[in-house]
Amino acid sequence: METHDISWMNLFLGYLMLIIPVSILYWFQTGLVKQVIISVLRMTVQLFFVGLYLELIFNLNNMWINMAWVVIMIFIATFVTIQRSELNRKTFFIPVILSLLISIVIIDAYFIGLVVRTEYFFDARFFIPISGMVIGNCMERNIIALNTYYRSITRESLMYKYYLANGATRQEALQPYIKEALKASFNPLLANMAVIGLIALPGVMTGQILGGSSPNVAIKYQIMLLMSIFIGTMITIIFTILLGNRYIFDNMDNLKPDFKRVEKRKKYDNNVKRTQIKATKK
Amino acid sequence: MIEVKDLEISYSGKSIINGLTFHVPEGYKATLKGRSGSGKSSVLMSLLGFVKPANGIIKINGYILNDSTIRKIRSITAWVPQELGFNLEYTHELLLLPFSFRLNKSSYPTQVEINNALTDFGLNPDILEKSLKELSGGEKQRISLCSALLQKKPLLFLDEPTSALDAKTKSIVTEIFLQNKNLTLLSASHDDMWAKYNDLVIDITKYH
Repeated sequence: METHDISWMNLFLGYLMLIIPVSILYWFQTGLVKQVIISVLRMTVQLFFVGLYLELIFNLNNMWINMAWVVIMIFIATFVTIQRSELNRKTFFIPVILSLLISIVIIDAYFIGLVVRTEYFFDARFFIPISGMVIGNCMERNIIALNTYYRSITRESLMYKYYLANGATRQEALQPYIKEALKASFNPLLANMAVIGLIALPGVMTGQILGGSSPNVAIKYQIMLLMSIFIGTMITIIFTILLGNRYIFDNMDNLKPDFKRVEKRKKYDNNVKRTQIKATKK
Repeated sequence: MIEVKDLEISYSGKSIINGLTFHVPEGYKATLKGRSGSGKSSVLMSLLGFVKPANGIIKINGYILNDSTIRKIRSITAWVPQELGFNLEYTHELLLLPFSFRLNKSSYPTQVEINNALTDFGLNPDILEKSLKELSGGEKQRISLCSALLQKKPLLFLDEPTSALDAKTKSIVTEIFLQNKNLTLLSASHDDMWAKYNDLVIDITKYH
């Protein structure tokens, strides 16, 4: 596998092409020129550093360092998930991190250990990018699922109560919300899977082909990655919701008000107050 | 069947019901009376464990309502809230929704039972195939009441069961529920005609 390198001088030539968008943005006085420059600089510096430490990690290729790297990714994904879903950090830390861990252990064990069958399981070249892709996607999909799930439980709390008061178990009463969360989260992924290759070449394939792989090998990796993302995401979401359910209900199966992040809770409290006032008006 | 003693309900420290005491024996039909905002729905909600009382004792079917008995209590009740703005498409989905729960599977009604029940409520069985959006408020209300009745639960909680009904359907619904001897029923209503046929009328405004 021979990779065709780009010389630094030639890469600089690539940057020169930015003259086109920058001058268009300048001409139309969008005020975005400064931002473009900042963004390009940030991209360059960040990628440069990623390159440096990936190079280092790949050279060391130490099981413990590679594992630590993946664990750090999981920690970051956990914090971002909780933050962006506006959930209580204390309540959701364990459910989110545990779900990601379970998911990544299953996916890595199965796909690296059984499907790709690398000589060395913790080989940085496979272990880190596969885990990274899966964790990143799990995080993104999980945020959508959690947002949908908790928003609809709060908004349609009457339906939840109706289920309980007419004999449903808590699990049965939560079924419609779980269904909604899974649909909201997976519909885009499924749509994307169904048209992949028709509209655009997926990133992994493009990267591998550019890196010198044959397209036949590249599609196998692409398929394997799409499947691991799909399966990993599903495991993460369902575990987060089910584990979270253990903490957010009181002993009478009522939703505790403190499952939302503190700053967001004020808004939630006001909403509850409003519905209660509405209820007492009857 | 229902015993309530010194019930106090408060929201954010402000008490809206205080010292409510009543007893509904088995087979009785009782209604909570009071103007809008007097806390009728909140009382029903507290009997179902959705609103935690600040004070008092609630006893249903011999069980004192608490963390360990709430599921037993909810398994013998059916509750029809005033507004059912559920995200469902067809009428039959609304009618049969409670029968998708494992507890109610054994009482899944036969087609004959369903048709008879609908006819009793003055509805044409064809209504089941209609989209819920096509239904009037009164039709929707009768469907949810019908659904509660079909569950054959011994204890029913109805919140403003006649609010969307005209005089004729109101008397039909009143007759169905209040003449059913096996049923214990507690409703919240500000409808005088409904109240007239109840065995027990609890004026909630006295307990503020």
